[in-house]
Amino acid sequence: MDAINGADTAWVLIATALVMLMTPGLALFYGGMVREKNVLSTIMHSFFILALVSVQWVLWGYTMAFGPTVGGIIGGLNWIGLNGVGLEPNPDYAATIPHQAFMVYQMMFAVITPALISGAFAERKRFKAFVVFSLLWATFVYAPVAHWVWGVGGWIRTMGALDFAGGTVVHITSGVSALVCALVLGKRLGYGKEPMAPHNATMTILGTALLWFGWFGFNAGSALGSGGLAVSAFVTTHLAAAMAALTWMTASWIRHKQPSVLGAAAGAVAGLVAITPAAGFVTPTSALIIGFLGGLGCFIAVEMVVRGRVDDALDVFGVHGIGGAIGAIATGIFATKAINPAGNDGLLYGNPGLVVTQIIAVLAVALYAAGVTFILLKLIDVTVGIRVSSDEEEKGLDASQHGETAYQS
Amino acid sequence: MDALTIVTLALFALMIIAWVVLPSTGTETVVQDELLTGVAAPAASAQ
Repeated sequence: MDAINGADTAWVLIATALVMLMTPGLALFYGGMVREKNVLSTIMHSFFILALVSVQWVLWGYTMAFGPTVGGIIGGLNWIGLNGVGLEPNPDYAATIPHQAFMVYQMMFAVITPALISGAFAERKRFKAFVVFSLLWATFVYAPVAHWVWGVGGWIRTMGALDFAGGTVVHITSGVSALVCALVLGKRLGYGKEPMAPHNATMTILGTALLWFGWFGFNAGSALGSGGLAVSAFVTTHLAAAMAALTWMTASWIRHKQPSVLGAAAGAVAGLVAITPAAGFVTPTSALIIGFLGGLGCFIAVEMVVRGRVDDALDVFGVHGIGGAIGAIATGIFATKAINPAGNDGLLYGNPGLVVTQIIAVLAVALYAAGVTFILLKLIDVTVGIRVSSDEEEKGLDASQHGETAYQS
Repeated sequence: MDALTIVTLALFALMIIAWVVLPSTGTETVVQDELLTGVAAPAASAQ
């Protein structure tokens, strides 16, 4: 039997709490960017998912993602309701911490991923449609993809693709699904005709700070131990965020003639997204370059989405979909066994094949997420109804969906 | 010094140059208002 290591367990529990904090941080990040009449409904999306997916994960999500594989496609239902998931380590995933510690750490990833999508349908989606969509999406998109990429026997993992902390599992799935949501729901009333400026930029900056803080748990925690690999991932995470914040701010300064505060915040998030799949495989200088690529690439993507008149309200596709893809492919370029012997060498270290493998993983996950999301949205539209009425949208979702207002004038 | 470090140094240097040479219309507005009225322009709203 494998021995539990106290330091490893302590770090993973702390990292779990850090990742948990990212979801309320996301609520503030998104909440500040919507109009005053929709701030509570936007914050509710993240808070509600924290509760909803936590229960779903224990009952069936975890076993579908990490249970004994069924053909490399999905985890079996052996661990439904955490049956057999106890306090002894599971050496297949983390040999020095209790299996439940690994389970609850992964739970926080399952929580934040559908919450990320909510930025694309902010200010116009019915709450009940959101509830059904989130539950189905967590079950039929997140869990299978997590199994493909991270589950023992998962076909993408077996193929040799690398994803240290969720570039494909978290960010490409959510980013691509967000684009599908934006296209299926259509634009907000008045989009492109009336101002829809962020109602509270300071709230967004506070959310960014909490995301950046929590991301140390997201990436360094993915080492699943408290040793050198966690330190390496911690350092690369911070450097990529910093470089991307500088890059986005500079790009927006060139493009829009002023250094945008919200741009610097969005850039930091873009860098955090881009480094996520690479965090435990690359050197600090590679992390700086990945941050640069993530900041610039996501800035261009967001500009193109806006120019394409797609109302991805809070730029989820541009930041998470494109940032995740940039990070996944960059992992194939910059990864080195000198940092993580359990990984692989990338293009710069004499192994161009890893780039091809990473691109296949990106395309497979993006196509699957887009297809299933489209089907789910259409099913929900014909049953529950996906979009609020024009009157409800004009009134604001805080009042029309929740009967509350954020601010008393 | 390896190639990645050189590339990173070059990128950082280019950005620093950009920050120095790029115009900042917001700052110019505040300075101009102060010169004209003796009162600083109100802080920019998030709106």
